[in-house]
Amino acid sequence: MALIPVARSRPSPPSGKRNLFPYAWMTPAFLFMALGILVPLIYTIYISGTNYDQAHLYNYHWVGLRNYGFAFSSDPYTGYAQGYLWLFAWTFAFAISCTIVNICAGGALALLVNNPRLPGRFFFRAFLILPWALPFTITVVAWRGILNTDFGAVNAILGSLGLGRPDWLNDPNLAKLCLIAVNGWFSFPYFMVLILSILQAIPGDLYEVAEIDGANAWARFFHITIPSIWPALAPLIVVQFAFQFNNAPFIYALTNGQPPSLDVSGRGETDILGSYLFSQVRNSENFAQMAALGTLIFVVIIILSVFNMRFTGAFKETK
Amino acid sequence: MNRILIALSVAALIILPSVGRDSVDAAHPRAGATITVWEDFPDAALPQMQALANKWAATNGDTVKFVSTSQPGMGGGSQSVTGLLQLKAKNKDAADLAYTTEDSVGSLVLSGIVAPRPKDLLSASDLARYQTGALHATEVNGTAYSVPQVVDGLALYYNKQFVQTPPATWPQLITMAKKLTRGNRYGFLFYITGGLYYTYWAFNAYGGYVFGNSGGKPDPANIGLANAGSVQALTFLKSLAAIVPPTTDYNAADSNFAAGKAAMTINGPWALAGYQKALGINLGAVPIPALPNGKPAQTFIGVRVWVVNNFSKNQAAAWDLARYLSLNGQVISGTYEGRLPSFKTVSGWSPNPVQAAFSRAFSVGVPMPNIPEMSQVWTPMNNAINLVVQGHASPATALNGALRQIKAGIAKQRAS
Repeated sequence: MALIPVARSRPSPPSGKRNLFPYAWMTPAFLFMALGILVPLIYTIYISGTNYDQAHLYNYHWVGLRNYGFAFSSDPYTGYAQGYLWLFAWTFAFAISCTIVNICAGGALALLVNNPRLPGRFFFRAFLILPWALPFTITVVAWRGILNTDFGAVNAILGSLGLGRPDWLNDPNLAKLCLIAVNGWFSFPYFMVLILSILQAIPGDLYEVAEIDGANAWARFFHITIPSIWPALAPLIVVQFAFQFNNAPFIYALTNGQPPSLDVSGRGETDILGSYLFSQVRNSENFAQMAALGTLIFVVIIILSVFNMRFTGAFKETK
Repeated sequence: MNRILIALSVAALIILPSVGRDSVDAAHPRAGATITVWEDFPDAALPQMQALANKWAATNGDTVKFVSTSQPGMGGGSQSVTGLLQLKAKNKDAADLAYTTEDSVGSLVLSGIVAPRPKDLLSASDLARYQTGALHATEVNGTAYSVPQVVDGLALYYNKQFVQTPPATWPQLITMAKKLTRGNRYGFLFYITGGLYYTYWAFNAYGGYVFGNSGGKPDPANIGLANAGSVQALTFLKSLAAIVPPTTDYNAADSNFAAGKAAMTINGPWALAGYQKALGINLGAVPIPALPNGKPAQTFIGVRVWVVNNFSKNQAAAWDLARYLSLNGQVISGTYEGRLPSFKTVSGWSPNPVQAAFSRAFSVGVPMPNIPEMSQVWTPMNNAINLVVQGHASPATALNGALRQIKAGIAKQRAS
């Protein structure tokens, strides 16, 4: 007896009625989004128009756009403009530097462990993923200890070599460098793995043909490797930038924004926008002003996201 | 006629019980009320205080529930009592009565979180028993908002194993500390990163001050933390980096002294019990030595006070309990709380020699300002002191920056 395959057609939606099924499926997600994102967002915008802060916790009232005025004012006592400008500048510098360092370090190591002439490359592939596999909080606390001026391992080594004891996390400039370097430590394995998988998808024949045609290693890198990985990597660069732009937990964990600045905004020298906002809310109960700043950051992020979606084609209908 | 009689007797039943009680209580019928108290008592003091509060409660048919800041649902100790009041004062389970530091009452007043103390809560004879400074600390801009319980401040602890005669001046202390620093032992360690509270004695001695005085009231427009004296004071503090590592935190100073690895330290009476346990008869204390310019070191005097939640429905009962604990709990506080009683003299309690040294230090102390503007002073000053001591800014630059930040904070606090 032969099995006769029965051709079944998918039931087509009842004609004349709109199919509500997909909307029903989306409802729970939409509700969570609304409660978790939309409601706080609207509340934040509302707070930014009041004077809700430490001095007015239970007797706050509507003050209009005053907090936005403070954000753009350079008044020596109530103006935040200068402080915010520094924060925006350092946040961009931090996000851009981290993106470049992480992708270059990850890419370089991916090229290295992808090289068939490297002995033990499978061992290195596994070994280099370790920083990614360790728990973030523990590792970052370990780094804080390693970089401690008086008791840290780095300065113990430098000191024993007679190279001085730099104040790694207390000097404004060194602390910024440390942040970018330690961020690289956390992020390069991710990019190494990603770029490695992209590299392995490049057909080997391309390189062979190029070699026969007399292209040297540099030419092969710039004309085959880079163009091959670029389409897959470009959206990741944008995403990585957006992630680092908001990477306040990392700043909070490693330096907590310290060392302090003498700026009237009360920012720390290594604070990015997100970590500054968090510390102002948590330590100074500066709710209204920070709600205004949060709204401004939100606008910036919207612009970046639109750019990102255009760039990655998320707006295009799939064919 | 019958109806009128019934109405009259019902009225009498309502009115009579409140006749004869003082006016504070009359406003609120309160038999069987539960008074929630937020506190951060040391473990040793809590059961004693609870027992005392139970006595009060028994006479009124009330219940007193102490809730420590470290309990689950209270932020696990990350929030101070003041912080909790700011966040949760309007909650249903919020405290009726809270135990907090006097310098934070100003900002609570500004937010309308604490109620003014009823004028007749403490009688003239009650008031006469408190130290003047402690009573003064309960007032914010001329109105009393709290009932004092204990006072605290700083003094110099020393380990008699290494120090026979405690230093009377800072030059002596520095010389001794340098001699005593050997191997893994420090001659002197203190919480130098602790900021203004731990170093105010230096500012004060050189002519710095937090707020000037105008007509007997602190004047927030006159801030003396960046004047020539303050610059000198901070220069002096920076020079201490020669004997104290500039990143020393509270734990490093505290644990090394308790372990006998630091011969001297500056700390408050809250550390006394631990040190006594660790060092026994070797523990000594004296007021902080005089500064190199010959001026005595005057510590900030902090006062722990009872405040009543303005949103509480049991305010009268809460005030009555505060009064009861303050008048009857002085021995408990002096013995178990690691602070000194706010009474001038307490019958049934005599200070041990170390407590007596603290008492001497406090008698010349400076009351910590408690106007709302004080809340804007701490962070900028703490930052400025650390920047200078750790060598990242000059005293004048850092203090002027801090002054700007303080003024900015006050300006924003006032913008309503």
